[in-house]
Amino acid sequence: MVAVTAPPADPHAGHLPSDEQLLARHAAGDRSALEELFRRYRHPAYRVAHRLLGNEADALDAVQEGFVKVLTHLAAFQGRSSFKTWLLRVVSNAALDLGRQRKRRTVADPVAGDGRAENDAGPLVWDDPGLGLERSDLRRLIDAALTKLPEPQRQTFVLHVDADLSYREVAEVLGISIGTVMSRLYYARQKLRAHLAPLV
Amino acid sequence: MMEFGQEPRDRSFPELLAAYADGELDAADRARVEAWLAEHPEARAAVENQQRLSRRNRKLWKAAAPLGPSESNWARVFNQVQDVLDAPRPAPPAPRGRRHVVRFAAGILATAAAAALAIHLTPPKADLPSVGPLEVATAAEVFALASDADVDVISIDDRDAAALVVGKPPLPATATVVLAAAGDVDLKGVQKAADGMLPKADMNAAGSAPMIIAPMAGR
Repeated sequence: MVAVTAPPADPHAGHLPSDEQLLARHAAGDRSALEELFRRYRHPAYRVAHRLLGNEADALDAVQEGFVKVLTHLAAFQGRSSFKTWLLRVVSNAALDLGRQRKRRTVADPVAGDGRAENDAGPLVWDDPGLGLERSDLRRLIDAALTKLPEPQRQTFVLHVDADLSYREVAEVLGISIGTVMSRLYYARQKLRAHLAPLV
Repeated sequence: MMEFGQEPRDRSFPELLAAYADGELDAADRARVEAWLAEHPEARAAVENQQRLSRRNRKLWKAAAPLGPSESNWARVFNQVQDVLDAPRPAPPAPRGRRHVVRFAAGILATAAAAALAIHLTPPKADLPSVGPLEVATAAEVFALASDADVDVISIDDRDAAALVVGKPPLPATATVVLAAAGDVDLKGVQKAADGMLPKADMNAAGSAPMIIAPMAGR
């Protein structure tokens, strides 16, 4: 079967307290430990939630819910996975739940409005100055394309790309095999490419 | 375009191409993919699709990343997390049975403290329980009751249908319906409710069957 490379080493190892040390300090009542954990993982959690929800307010709600759930159920977590992968699992699930509950806000297609991308001939790339595609437009286009994916593919793709998780970590987060991660990513990209082909 | 998966020996190639594009393969599998691509040049487009949307395309994902929240918004979220963690925790809920089998309408439920039927949680017991004198149970040990007006049965296996016992509870509508499998409970005792009704419990069902217990009029 397919072998995959090992996940990258923790860049903080040996320099900063480990997650386990911070969790132990938090359990002992050290409030600064909680803040450090929050700072350490708020950005990947937010990127995942934002990509799944499409707006800051909902993404912050999902991040908040994720941290609360994880920290109130530490007994269920310890020893079974890394804090990071468990948090991202909970945050991504919270984001998907929120998305279902609130109905994702319609993502406007900023380019199709004036027909520019649709009508341009020849290959276009997202950073082509002639296209005039703004950063926020690119993000919205990708977000819109992502909504067309089945939820398992979307979650897998976002955890890999936006949380920068390796295949092994994504498999751990979602409780699936590495082969399933590969398969979901392959088909997710094929579909995304079909939607984004002129731009990406 | 080549259709992956048509040849049994190649069924894993879509997956391999994704991992190849992401640099997640070891040297042996990377060489295997490259050798396969040399024989299937028509698959190069698929590889390119994968590479364009790979996370290794840092420039793309950096440009497409959302702007982060302000520090004040982060501080607000952190404070809310801390507030929730500092708040007193509610008592854990009573154990529940197979909620996927029966779903509830919004409804009426009885407080454990007011329940006329006390069921003590103990290890599963094979024999039918006997109905004897009431034993006083703690609040945490008491199951709430539900009636047929309280629940909508959306779906249920035929083999479970006989285990459902529903009736009219003489209780206020306040708490949460709790379902238990027959094997989850050991019936220690029951007493008549204020209106003289006795509950009926079907404990003949298999240990995994759902059970709703409620007083039945005229029993």
